[in-house]
Amino acid sequence: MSMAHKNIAAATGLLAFTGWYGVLTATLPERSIMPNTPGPSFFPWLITAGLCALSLALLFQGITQLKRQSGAVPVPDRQDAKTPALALASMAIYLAALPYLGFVLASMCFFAVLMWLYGSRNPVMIVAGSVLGPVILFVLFRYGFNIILPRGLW
Amino acid sequence: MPSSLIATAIGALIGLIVGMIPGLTISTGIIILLPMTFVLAPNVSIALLLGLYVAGMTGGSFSAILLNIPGTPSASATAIDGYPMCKRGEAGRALGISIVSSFCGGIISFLSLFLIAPSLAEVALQFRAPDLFSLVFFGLAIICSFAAKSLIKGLLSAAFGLAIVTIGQDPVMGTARFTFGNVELLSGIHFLTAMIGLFAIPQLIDNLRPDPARGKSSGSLTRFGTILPMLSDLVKIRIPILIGSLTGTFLGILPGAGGPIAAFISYDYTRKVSKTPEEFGKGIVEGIAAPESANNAVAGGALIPMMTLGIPGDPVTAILIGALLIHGLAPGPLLFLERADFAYGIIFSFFWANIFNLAIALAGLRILVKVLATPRVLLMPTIALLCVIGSYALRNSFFDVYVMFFFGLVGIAMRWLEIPVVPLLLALVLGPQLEEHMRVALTSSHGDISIFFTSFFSLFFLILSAISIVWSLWAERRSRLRAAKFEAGNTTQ
Repeated sequence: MSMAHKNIAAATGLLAFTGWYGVLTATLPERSIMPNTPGPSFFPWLITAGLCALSLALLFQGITQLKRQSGAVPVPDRQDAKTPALALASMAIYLAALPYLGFVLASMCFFAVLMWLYGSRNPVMIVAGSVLGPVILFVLFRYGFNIILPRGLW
Repeated sequence: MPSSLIATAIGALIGLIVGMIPGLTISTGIIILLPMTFVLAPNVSIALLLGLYVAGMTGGSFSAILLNIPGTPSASATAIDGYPMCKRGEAGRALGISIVSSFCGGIISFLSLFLIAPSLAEVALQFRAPDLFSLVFFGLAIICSFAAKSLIKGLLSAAFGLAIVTIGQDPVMGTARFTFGNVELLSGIHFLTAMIGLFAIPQLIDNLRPDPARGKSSGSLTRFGTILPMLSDLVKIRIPILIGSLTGTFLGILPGAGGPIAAFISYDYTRKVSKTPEEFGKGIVEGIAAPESANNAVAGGALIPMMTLGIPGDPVTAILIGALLIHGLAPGPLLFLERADFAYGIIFSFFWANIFNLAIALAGLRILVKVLATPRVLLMPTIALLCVIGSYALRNSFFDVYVMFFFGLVGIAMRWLEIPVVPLLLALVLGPQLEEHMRVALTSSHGDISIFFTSFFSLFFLILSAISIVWSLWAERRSRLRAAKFEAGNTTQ
């Protein structure tokens, strides 16, 4: 995707966010310490105006860039998206499971998946790393720094 | 205090290791270490983090010289002359120059910090709400100018950060805003969890991509001669060190400028004033001394606005502000007034951080570089778990962990869209102050906005903000015109 397309995508997304933010700002109560002084919605309104103006500027910039580069062959983005997507998905599952399984058990599974995604194919190393890593961190933080980590429901 | 000294030394050791590992930035290292500081005394916490900050800048040069992969962005300029020296068999000489230059840059910026900070704090005590608003606004404006190739994207990033900051209770009246009835959102988004997500998660994802440079032979890692610089080299690097130190200190004071900019400006200027500019890039000691002294001097410079005005000079000092706030200490001019012992404690911890950085690097370099061989398959998952621990430990809340993950996705999207993250981060830190000072100023003036233009300091900072924005627009336009000219030239050929 070219920079022009990225700018247009960013501007569109931010305009949508700005619209939503503006609608929510309109629902904020109007109250202030004294008359003619800013209340809770003043700053959000300023931000809404700023975001709107800047998003439109970025959209204009993106469209201008697109017109300038029309005819040019865009360079395809060859970066691998599958591995990062798998990593993020596994992190999402890990975080969802964390309150139920507890830190040690959930982290062992997550650690193993990450080791595999980062390129380890040695099963002994994966098992050893995914068991020792979370256990060491748990002991270090729980008993070394007195930081309570999730224990899970079991 | 002995505990602070020990903490500084440990921080320096960790900093050298963190800085050395490509793919781990100093910010990530500090974020990882931060949860461990929750249970420590404030002075010990800051000493630990300062040690990491200072030594991290030096550590980045080791992999830059040995592998041509900068360990931190600030070490990018060091690789230009450092790696050619390593290829010539002079790795030890290059590393020694790097360590000594870093030390000198750090000490010169310490002197600036020691001399300037207390005086600046006294001036800052006179600031009222309009002045403070304009100062914070200037801090954000200059970050957007420096940190982004595109000013519009920098400002958008900052505006988005300000929008995030409005979640929770408004700072003046306590009205709940954008909480959707959720009790967790009432206290707002903690900027440290957002920071962990914005910095660490994209870094972890980046490291998943195969990088041919990472498979480089580590044969050169332990085969280097003496690292203690010769007297002749020390004479050669005295001017580059001076240029680098002054450049770095000045740019460190400016929010958003940071180590990489200081290193390259210092390198470029040293080359211009050198009698042998054609030698730069081929492996000369001056080409290492200038950027290395600059990037360590940035650390001291960045502490000046952080401590005296409460404005972070770079992402690392933003995290340091967070660390101080966690311990109930607010950086700013009142820190010197009410807790002068603590303020000077920070300054002298910075001094000792440079001493320990020099000592540990010179004594332990041959062992430390073995860290470069640490398997990534163990390091990266460990960092991922430390991010989760760091977010959870702040308030023992799963909500913060989910917020961290959300901001991780935001950080990845911003990287892909080439929107800078630093303005967003600094907006998260400075946003509450910005709104509070603005509303207090307008309340005291009964809604009259001329209050921002009738105060000398406020007008001064607003003019500086306008200059930085106009300069950034002009620089962007000039760069676009040059690119268009270059393309047109290529087409006609």
